[in-house]
Amino acid sequence: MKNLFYIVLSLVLISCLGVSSIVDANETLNVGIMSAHGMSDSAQYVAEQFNKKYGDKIEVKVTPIGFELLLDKMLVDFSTGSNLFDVYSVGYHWIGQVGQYLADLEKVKSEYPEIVDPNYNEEDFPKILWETYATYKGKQIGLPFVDGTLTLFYRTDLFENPEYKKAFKEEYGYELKMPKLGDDPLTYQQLYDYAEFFTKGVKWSDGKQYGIALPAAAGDPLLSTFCCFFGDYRRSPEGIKEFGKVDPDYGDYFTEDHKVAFDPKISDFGLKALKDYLELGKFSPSPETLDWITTSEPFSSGLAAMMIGWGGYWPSITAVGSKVHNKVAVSLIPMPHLGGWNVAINDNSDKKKWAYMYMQMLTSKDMNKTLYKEFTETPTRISTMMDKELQKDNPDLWVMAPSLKRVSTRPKMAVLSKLEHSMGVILSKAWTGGLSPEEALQRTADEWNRIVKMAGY
Amino acid sequence: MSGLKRNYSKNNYSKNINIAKTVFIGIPLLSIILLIIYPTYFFIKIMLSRFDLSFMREPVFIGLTNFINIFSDIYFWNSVFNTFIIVVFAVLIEFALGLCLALLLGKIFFGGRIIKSLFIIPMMLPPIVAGLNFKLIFDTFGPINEFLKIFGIDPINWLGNPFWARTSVIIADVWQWTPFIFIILLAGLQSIPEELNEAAKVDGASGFNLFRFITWPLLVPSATVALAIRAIDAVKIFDVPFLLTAGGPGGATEVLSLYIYRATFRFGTMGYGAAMASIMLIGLSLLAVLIIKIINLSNRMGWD
Repeated sequence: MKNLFYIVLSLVLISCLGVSSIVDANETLNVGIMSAHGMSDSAQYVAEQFNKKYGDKIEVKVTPIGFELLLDKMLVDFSTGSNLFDVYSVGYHWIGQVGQYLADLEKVKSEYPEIVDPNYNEEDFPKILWETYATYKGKQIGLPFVDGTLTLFYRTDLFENPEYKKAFKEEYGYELKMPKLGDDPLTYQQLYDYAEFFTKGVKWSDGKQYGIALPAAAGDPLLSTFCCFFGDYRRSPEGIKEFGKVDPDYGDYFTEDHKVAFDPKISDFGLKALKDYLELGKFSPSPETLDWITTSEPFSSGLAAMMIGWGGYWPSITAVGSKVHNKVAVSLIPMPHLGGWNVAINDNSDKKKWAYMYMQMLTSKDMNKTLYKEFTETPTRISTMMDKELQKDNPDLWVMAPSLKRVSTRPKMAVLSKLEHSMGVILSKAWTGGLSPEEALQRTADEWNRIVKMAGY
Repeated sequence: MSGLKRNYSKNNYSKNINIAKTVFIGIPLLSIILLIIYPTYFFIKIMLSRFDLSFMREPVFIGLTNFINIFSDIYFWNSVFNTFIIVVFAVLIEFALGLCLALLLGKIFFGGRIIKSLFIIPMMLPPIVAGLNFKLIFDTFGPINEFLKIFGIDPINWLGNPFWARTSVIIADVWQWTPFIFIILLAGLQSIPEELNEAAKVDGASGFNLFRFITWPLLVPSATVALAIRAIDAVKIFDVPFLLTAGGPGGATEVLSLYIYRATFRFGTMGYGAAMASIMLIGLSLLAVLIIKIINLSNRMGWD
């Protein structure tokens, strides 16, 4: 009898522990955030604020996840329904792959109207960011969290040196000048001339010197940077006439009727863009090896006069101790390219109400400013981008709003990773000399057509 | 009474035996079902299905379509070719270096233990660390190019040129895995009785003849085991190319494991990835059987 009592008691205790752990699990909102650019720090900071306010009901737990693993984790989590995270930071270019697993925020808002902040002000987000980050196939699937555009970083001590300015004018017949706020962006011809001048037109470094650090490593860097060159043709009046308008779900690489726009069989714009890209690459240290991180190395170590990289790299490039500390400014590249992230809710989550409340706090107007000040989290709101005081303290901020006025975008398609991979394998051969630019581009276009057709687009 | 007691304890004994049988057979059986049979069943099911994570929650049976598609997949064949090149060169160089080191260090007595321990360090490092390490070393502005500059040699585009990128992956693999071959061969060398060498010396055998007629024939079993294990392991190479070159440039270092990983998790095509993994598994099994046959390992180990 005594033994039976102990057995029953043990079972009751075990059940209580089990139930309490289930209760605990229900009260945690799990957030998976990319661990870079201060994104996870920002998410953690807001989680602390949120927990202070609602900690008696729910606790937000932020887990930083590396860029390389995040998409894999999301895909497995969503498709298996394991619900590891309620909220994810989603790169906008991944939306095509994971979009169908993200909750429709309009539905969440209509189900819980009481949680919608009347001062949230969606109008404060630039239209392009709302179109690319927040919507997919007509559904609202996220809130814009981190903006990212490819930006031109340059050495002020070189570009503002009167001696070099004079030499440049004598050589090229026009002023050596980087566009500032209100100026027109550079043309690719100017960028080419500047890069050539600082590679071989003037001696400004004791050792090796390069005009530009240009990313072209296989994968995301090649796909995004080539889009800057192709987008310049794609969005020109001639490009619009040739290809039609850009569909936000298909981006610059596709025509309005969803054909591969850089296909040499359709027009010669793709080839022109590739040749521009390859020509500029002559003034860069081995572009085919430069990814987002390694591109900043020759620039930070004082070997390159300019670099193309994400605006979010400003703090690390200009940090105290860097060889270019206090010698850097930013400007617009001829055709910027859009990166950036949203925050979205896993459709399998049973805590959509809390998830939306957290996301709303994370992307609110005031928080957008705070996160930029505290963590240099690249803002998504016009009010932060245009804030005069912030612009005064942060010399890189002014470039964000004008970049978004003319920006190229990647496709939001389920097969984007396959397209990126095939471009990395085939188009890269134009960089390594394995194929001529014509052949590399034609083969890439053929492969893209095959992949897109196989996927039923 | 004593008979009853005996009957009772006999019944009790057979009851306990039955419980023990159930526990000792049942638990391992359940473990096998959970850990081997079910995952294998799932693996087979997936490789015969279309299971695209981007838009499917359940696999759909498509028979052998994944396998048919693999045979026309240029990236698959490119990765098989890259794997072959890297494995052949890396393993042969590792073997040659490992053998030289074993012969050389086998005879060092003073400080031998410390030197041998130092040689083993690369093998102890996680491949991810080795990959990162070599990424810095082979950087355009890295130490190797700086070193070459001293001799007036132009910098080499280690990671941006297909030939040098493959070479870099091979060098990194050789650096990490030569110690493995070295350890096995050293053990093999130390197991050769010294009397044989002494007898050969008495008969007038020179240094090279000693190696050719005494050391090498007795070292063959250890050498073939080392080669076999290393070759099978090298086919699965992933971390170093993933970190060093990410498979580039132009797919020159995209090895089979890396492409399977991309197809499975990056493209989200689980079925296709599983089908490729099964081909890799069959290939590795054939390689293992072939090596076992060649070295007659089953006879040596008494498996027949």
